[in-house]
Amino acid sequence: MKKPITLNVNGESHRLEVPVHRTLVDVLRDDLGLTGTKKGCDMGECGACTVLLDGKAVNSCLVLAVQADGRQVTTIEGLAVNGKLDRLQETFIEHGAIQCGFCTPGMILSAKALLAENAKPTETEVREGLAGNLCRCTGYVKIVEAVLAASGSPDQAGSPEQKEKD
Amino acid sequence: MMGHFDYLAPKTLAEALGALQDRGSGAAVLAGGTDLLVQLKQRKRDLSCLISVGSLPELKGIRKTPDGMLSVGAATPLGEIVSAAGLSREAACLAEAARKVGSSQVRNLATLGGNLCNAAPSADTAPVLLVMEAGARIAGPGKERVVPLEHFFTGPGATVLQPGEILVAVEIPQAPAGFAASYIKHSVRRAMDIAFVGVAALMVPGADGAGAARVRIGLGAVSPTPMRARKAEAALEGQPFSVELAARAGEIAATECSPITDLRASAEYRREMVAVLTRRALVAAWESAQGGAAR
Ligand SMILES: Cc1cc2nc3c(=O)[nH]c(=O)nc-3n(C[C@H](O)[C@H](O)[C@H](O)COP(=O)(O)OP(=O)(O)OC[C@H]3O[C@@H](n4cnc5c(N)ncnc54)[C@H](O)[C@@H]3O)c2cc1C
Ligand code: FES
Ligand code: FES
Repeated sequence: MKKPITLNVNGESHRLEVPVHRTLVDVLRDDLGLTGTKKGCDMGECGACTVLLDGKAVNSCLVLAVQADGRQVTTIEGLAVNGKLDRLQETFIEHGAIQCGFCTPGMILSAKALLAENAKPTETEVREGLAGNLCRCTGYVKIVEAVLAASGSPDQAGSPEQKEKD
Repeated sequence: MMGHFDYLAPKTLAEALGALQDRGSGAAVLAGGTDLLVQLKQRKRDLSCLISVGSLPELKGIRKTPDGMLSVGAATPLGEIVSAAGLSREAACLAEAARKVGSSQVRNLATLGGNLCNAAPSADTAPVLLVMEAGARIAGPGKERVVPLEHFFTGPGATVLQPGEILVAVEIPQAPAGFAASYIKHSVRRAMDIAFVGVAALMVPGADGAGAARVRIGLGAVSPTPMRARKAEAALEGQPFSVELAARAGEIAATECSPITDLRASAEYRREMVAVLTRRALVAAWESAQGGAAR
């Protein structure tokens, strides 16, 4: 069974005809070529596939593409505005919070959702907010530092959807 | 990869009930999908049709009814329940358990109804709902019924839901004045892990202030279904509260449950932990009730 859907990804609207059993992560990566979103476990455990759905962080391997019909999706490709990196992307680079980079898109989007809800989180709150994102390389310390460094900066307030409209 | 199935997204509860009826035994309700899609990927289930209830207005949201009851729509994501902790003390108790489920990404998808209908003995929202004596509002072809949550679970993965029925809401009655509750989840990792023991306790201090007039204890992951430990409750009610008495109640609770040995823990260890965690949950609820009274 296939279904026509409209996916709004990073502010751009896509009309697609998708098999109903296809997950959002597969449609983003294979149909739309947005391979910044990674697929690790495909079971909701690793967080590599994290995207924002209507501003909330979700595992895109646990969402059918048809369930995202008509909703706003933000992937890592949508964070930079006119070629300027998001503050979180900058602090991840500055703090060396990236090694192989596989977990990075999911980490940054989880952090983005966290800071939109809680502009000045404590270290514990950052660790809790990122509990669903596994990193096999960094040991998390630099990632937590990077998120804390980005917190409180003005461009982290409000939802990414809101920013896209500006 | 999942097998092939049809997907329906009805707009109303009546339409969803009709579709469930039409599609028969190969159809299942899809809420957040955090259990169901994983089961389909692992080929533990084979379904011909998923009926999405995620956007049914009848199943969404948290509200207080005029008689003081808290009604939580079955398709309300756990993340929304965590954010609604300020609504009432009952809402705060449910939020405390909901925030212990999975990760923030999982909680933004996972619904309360899915947690209960999946009926894992370890479902984190079950013990607190048992001690708050919540009811499950169930809609079927042409009728609705409310089943006390204590009778909702019938075995691992099994509930009283009949084919064609949908859980609409969880109804939490207003708890007695002065009550306090706690939930302790014991797992290997602090986050993103299934409980190997979960204990909820609710206490209502008596008029003399020395002991609890009402005590309720809910256990998760230590019997085929989440359960109340009624003998342990009875040992505390009307008695002057002490840590020793709470410890004795914990030992009684450990004899009431019937844990199994699995990958996560042995039956013996689980039983030991029921004793310890019941004591801790009772002391936490008692102290919180005292604090509440002083405030
Ligand atoms: C990584 C990960 C971590 C997890 N951690 C935890 C944890 O710590 N604690 C915990 O308790 N659980 C955990 N879970 C399990 C799961 O997230 C929860 O049980 C969740 O609440 C299920 O809700 P859902 O909306 O996703 O259900 P779904 O997967 O959509 O549905 C689950 C089952 O319930 C049925 N169903 C759903 N809604 C209804 C309804 N309204 N009426 C009738 N039937 C219905 C479905 O048909 C299906 O059989 C975890 C899952 C993952 C993937
Ligand atoms: S790929 Fe989705 S959580 Fe691992
Ligand atoms: S940088 Fe390699 S997994 Fe995180």
